[in-house]
Amino acid sequence: MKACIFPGQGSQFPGMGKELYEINSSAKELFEKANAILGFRITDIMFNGTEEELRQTKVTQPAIFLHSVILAHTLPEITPAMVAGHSLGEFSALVVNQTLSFEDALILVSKRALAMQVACETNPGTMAAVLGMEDQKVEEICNTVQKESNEIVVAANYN
Amino acid sequence: MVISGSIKGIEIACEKLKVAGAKRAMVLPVGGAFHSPLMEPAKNELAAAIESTVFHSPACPVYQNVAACAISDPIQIKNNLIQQLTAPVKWTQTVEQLIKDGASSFIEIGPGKVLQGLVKKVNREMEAISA
Repeated sequence: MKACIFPGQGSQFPGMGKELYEINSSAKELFEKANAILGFRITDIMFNGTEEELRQTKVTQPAIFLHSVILAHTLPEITPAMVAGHSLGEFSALVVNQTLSFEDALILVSKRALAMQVACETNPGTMAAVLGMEDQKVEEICNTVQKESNEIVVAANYN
Repeated sequence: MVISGSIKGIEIACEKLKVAGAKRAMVLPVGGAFHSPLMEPAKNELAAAIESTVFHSPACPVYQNVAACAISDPIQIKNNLIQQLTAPVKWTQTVEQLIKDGASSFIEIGPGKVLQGLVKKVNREMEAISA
């Protein structure tokens, strides 16, 4: 069985989706539709923007979503038996398995990005990658730190 | 494994993790504590948007981050999407479950190749490619 999987934040890169836009007319149409829905030309930032510009939350999440979903749209021969997406990628998965329309999912992704941006400003925080330790032990240490310091620290990604 | 939390909390945790024997514990260049309770303020707004959006019955099951198993019920899908903001992404468990349920090839659709690498980490023999 074929499983289609969709990436989340961190996978963006300058120039993403440009080739797709240039060689496929239905991809171009979807990108333009997205520009209209978002109210700014996200394609300009995706194709010609810097890494810094791509890293703005209101840009990153819709950009990755659009790259995934429009690429999938140009590959109708790929019919998955199961789908999954990492974090924001879950919205891409839900378009490809026909739970959400392209337009509705894009609006949700955009709202999610903005709401998360506000939460980051209200509750500043960060993340860290931990290598070379059992998940369970990492969890235990996070719990201890929370109890001792009264600071929030939790497991966020098992991968 | 990625951990998430307040700036001070992550700093303390990284120190402790290294002392306890972690090979590495390094802060990532991200804008906030995603998938942690610190994202709670974003929940109401996302929940309202999701509740007012039409979710159809899926053509095939989605293995969601918070559940790491097959979900086909639109109401459950909505709830899981909302919970995901403050809950961990169980990606390893998701890949394991997909394989258990019969996945024989993985196709990564979108920018980058991170996820196919993670599939290979679960099962080196598994076919995992870019679309």
